[in-house]
Amino acid sequence: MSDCTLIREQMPLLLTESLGSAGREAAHQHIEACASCETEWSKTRETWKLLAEAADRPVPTRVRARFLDEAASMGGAMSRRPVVVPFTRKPVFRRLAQAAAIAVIAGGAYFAGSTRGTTPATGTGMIASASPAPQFRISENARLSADQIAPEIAGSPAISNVRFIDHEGRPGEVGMTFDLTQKVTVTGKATDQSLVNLAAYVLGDSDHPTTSRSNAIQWVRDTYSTGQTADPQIVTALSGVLRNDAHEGVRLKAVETLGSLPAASLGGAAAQARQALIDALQNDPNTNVRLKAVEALANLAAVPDGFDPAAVETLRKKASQNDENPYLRVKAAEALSQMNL
Amino acid sequence: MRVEMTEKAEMTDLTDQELMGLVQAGDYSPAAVLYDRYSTRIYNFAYRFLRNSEAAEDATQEVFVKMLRHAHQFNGEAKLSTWLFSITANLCRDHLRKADNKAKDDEDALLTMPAPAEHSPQHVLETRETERRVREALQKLTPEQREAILLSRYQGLSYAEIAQISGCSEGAVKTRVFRAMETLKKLLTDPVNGDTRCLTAL
Ligand SMILES: [Zn+2]
Repeated sequence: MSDCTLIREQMPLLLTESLGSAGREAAHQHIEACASCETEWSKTRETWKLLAEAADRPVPTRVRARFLDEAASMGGAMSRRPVVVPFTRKPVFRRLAQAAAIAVIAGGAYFAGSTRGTTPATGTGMIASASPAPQFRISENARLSADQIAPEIAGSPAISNVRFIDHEGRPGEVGMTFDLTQKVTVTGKATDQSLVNLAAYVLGDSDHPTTSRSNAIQWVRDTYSTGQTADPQIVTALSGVLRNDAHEGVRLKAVETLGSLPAASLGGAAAQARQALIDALQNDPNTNVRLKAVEALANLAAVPDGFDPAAVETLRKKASQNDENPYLRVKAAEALSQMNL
Repeated sequence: MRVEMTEKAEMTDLTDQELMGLVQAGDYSPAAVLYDRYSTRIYNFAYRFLRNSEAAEDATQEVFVKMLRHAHQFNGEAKLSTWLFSITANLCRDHLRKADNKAKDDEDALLTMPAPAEHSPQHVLETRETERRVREALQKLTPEQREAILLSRYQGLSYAEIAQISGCSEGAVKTRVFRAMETLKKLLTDPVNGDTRCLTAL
């Protein structure tokens, strides 16, 4: 099979980011160098984008009514008793029990081209009950009743894709759905779970713009360089970037940041960070990323009873690997000699 | 009314697994919440697959009835969406297998969709035309290819999940998506095919 045939078969995998980083890098290198594959790749991407034009349509409300009628006739209990949940659960955002009609149904800014699954609005409440419960939830979809919303609109937020719908056939009730673009500023301590989750979320999805991911990494570095214990979620997110991000510049920043964090600040997540660095050192196609991985791994190799054997072994292999960059081999050897094994 | 709304607000906070646990115990009260969570995805899969809104409505209703009736077959460890899409894909395949059901599409439904008010009439026409071409192009695929591309492109499922739903290997999914994309690429980006737009424009 020729290179071109293989690369073309991989194009759908490139679209859904289902190729490993080495394969992805090789495919992109070929595409950049091969005019005919480049044409095919741009057509493939255009096709993928065009598919999103056949957007989701609302399900006619009669389907719901018919289904619920049938469910009621099937003999299962459709009780109004309080729900008893037989599982352990995370704390929930209990919404205000509203007797009023749901009159505003707001769909969060949802990008029609997204390949992410979209669960309809009802799963996510946005307004929670009074303090100390959270007041605001960042979510793809929010479903609100009219009296949960302050009547006045502040500033001039962008509202688009507006539709007016009948509210599940209830007489006298209406619904309005729209996409809302909102600038949100969250302030708090670096340890606040909401900020940690947000940073991890931005890092975890390469659909977010490069600058956003890059800014998030910089924030992690500034926050944790002082020795404050890093949240394991942040270490997981950084490790994920190092493994999966298609953008070399972002991976480079992630590996530098992992290397700059004081070993003590990683706490229980140090092993995970080490494994990500070992993987990068073995597999990352970019020499600078691997080079920084050597430094970072040397930083984090120390464990309570000496040095992590896997880290030492990886550095040894690199130092003696003939087809590896010579400078990188020297750096790996230096790191080993400083360990005084 | 008050009681119902209050209960619903609590139900929506439960996970799929918790809700299915109730259904498995014979309590169908989570039916509406589960329907609200998945009906849009199920309906649109069926509509793009069959290109027939009436058949898509029937399939959607049947999927959720089966969800209640066969709840005991749902493995609590699995993702509910994967299970529901397996049921949906089966129903859609059955529907196609029956004679006379092929290519009985209803384009008129497109014309009655309300237009987003903030766009110019020209923009609306262009968008609709593209949408029509996409829906038409999807019908040119084999049912297997269409199933694979719909689950990958519109549902964002992994090849492993698609393989489970379609009852085939991941390798087969890969081939199906590739072939589907080759066909769609020709239909949607080749200038020759693009030109037919003038003839069929609304
Ligand atoms: Zn080529």
